[in-house]
Amino acid sequence: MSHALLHPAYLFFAAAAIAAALPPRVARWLLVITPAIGLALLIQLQGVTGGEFTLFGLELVTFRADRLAFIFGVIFHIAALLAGVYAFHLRDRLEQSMTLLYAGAAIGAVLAGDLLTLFIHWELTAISSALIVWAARTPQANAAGLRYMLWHIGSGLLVLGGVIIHVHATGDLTFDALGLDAPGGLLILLGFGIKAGFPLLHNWMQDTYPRATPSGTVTLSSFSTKLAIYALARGYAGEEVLIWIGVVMTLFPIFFAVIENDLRKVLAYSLNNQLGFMVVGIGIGTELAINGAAAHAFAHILYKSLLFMSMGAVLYRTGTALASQLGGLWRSMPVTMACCIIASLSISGFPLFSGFVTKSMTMDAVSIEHLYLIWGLLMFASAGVVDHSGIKVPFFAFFAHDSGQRPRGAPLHMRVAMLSTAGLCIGIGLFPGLLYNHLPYPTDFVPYTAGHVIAYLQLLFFAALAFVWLFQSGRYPDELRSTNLDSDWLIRKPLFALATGVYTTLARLRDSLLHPAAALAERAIRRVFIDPARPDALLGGAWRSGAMVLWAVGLIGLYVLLFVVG
Amino acid sequence: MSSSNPGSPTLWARLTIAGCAVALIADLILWATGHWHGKLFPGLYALIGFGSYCAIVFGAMVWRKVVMRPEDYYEDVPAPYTPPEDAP
Repeated sequence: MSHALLHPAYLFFAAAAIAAALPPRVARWLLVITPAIGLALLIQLQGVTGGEFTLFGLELVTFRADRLAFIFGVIFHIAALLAGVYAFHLRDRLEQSMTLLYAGAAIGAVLAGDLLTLFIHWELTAISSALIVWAARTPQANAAGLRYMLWHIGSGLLVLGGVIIHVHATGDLTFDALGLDAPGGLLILLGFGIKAGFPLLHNWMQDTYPRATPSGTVTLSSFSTKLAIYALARGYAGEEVLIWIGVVMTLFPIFFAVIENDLRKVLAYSLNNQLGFMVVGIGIGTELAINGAAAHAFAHILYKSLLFMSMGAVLYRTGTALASQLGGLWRSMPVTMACCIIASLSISGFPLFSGFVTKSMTMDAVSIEHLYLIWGLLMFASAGVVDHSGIKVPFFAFFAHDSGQRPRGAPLHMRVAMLSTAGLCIGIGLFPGLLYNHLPYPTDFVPYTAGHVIAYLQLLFFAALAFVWLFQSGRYPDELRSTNLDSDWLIRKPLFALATGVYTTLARLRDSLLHPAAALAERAIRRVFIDPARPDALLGGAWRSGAMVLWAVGLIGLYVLLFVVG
Repeated sequence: MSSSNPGSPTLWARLTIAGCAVALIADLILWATGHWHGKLFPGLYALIGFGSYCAIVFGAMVWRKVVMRPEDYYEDVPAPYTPPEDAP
């Protein structure tokens, strides 16, 4: 039980409750201190399983810091710490406390040893993250937050349904390898799939991330999706269908990202694409592939946070993240620009940066299994990564045409957070062993071989050359203010129209059926009770003595009956 | 705009071309010394990079014709972001 008390997630929950009561200027320190203490606790408890108790005859394990959970727990703490520093300007109790609650819930979920504990924390991430979206307090964020909440509560309900079926069939709540063949396995996979951004279930990301506050988006980008990746790696490693789902995830977002004008939305598509690489790794399921997925998730949280931080800083200073409104910011925001380029090189897989040493693992796992078609499609998708995150985001924000804007540089705390994150991106790239030593399986993987380095350099430089050619020849698509339809169109247009139609029909039906009955009842009540003074009312006028006697006898009879029965 | 400042497209273009040249020459050296096993021909990754990028951009331009709608298609265009009043 002592491990349950030392659980880092509960530290976050306590801090969230305190932050909600403290003045925001004081509470902001909790966003920095709590993850630091939590990380120290987690490191002390590495490899420990504890916090066990029995509920209704079922064994719950609230704390399990095995190698897979540990690596995700560590990066969640680091992400929370960096997001806390980045959000130091916040004067909003709601966002501050929900940031702590959200991070704590995600940490609690990855450290959960059983499905019920996982589910509880899973739902807590949904509620707290929706509140982070709402903390932007704009009509667009309110509406998007509601849609987000529906997706994520739906995800939780699918997981719950699957868990109930699973427990009913097996009597076991342990969260370990499930697979599609396990009772409730499909429902749980779908629940995980919503959070992981499976194709057609993905659009909550692109819908909400651009609508949250600059700090809110940084926080949102770090936890939910990677929690889902962890859950898939734990429960569905080696499930072949995930390979193809992952491939589709890597491919479709790149086409949207090219034509999207909102750079935070571009990053949301890019996030979706990166998750695809991880899902492919999980689908392959070998030790190298799972290591690749975990390592990629670790590196991805950092470089994606950094990209969102840099675009958040731009938004914070200029009021917009639209590519069509930006350009030329390298003059006034050089630190932000440098950090953005470091993140871009990392996500593109440029040698010496974090993405190179992590994505190589997954790519090698694919080629070792002789999945050449998959390998080719992933290489194609890698060229897309170069476009959306490697070139488009930094180029249109900081270079391209000069927008004439000369904002101040990002605030000091934002620069500290960005520079620290950039340092980690480079550190992992230079010293991959530091990360490899903590992956789920022991590995002697060597990323820096001549073949790897030259292959990636060629891919990246020639993709960049294609951009240079397309841009200079005027063939690269213009950045246009627009809305691009995605799968959410199905929900927001035809499904909404259908729901509205059904509701209107039902309301009309109700009125046509109930209105005459209600009018009749109203007339009767009015006659009996409301207008008794009127001579024609039932209780109105003078009663005949016979009727009065009848009423008296009836009431006395009822009283006697009740007395006898009582 | 001078080509030596970071905002110059010419500077970035030159850097990119230089990078391509280095990567391609290194690949040819590796190929000549027999370090590549199973690779079809030198410059394969260059072709994949260039070809894929062009295919993605041209594909996206076609896709835009299908999916692009006015900015206020779903809802009002959001107002520009304003940071908190006493923020740094």
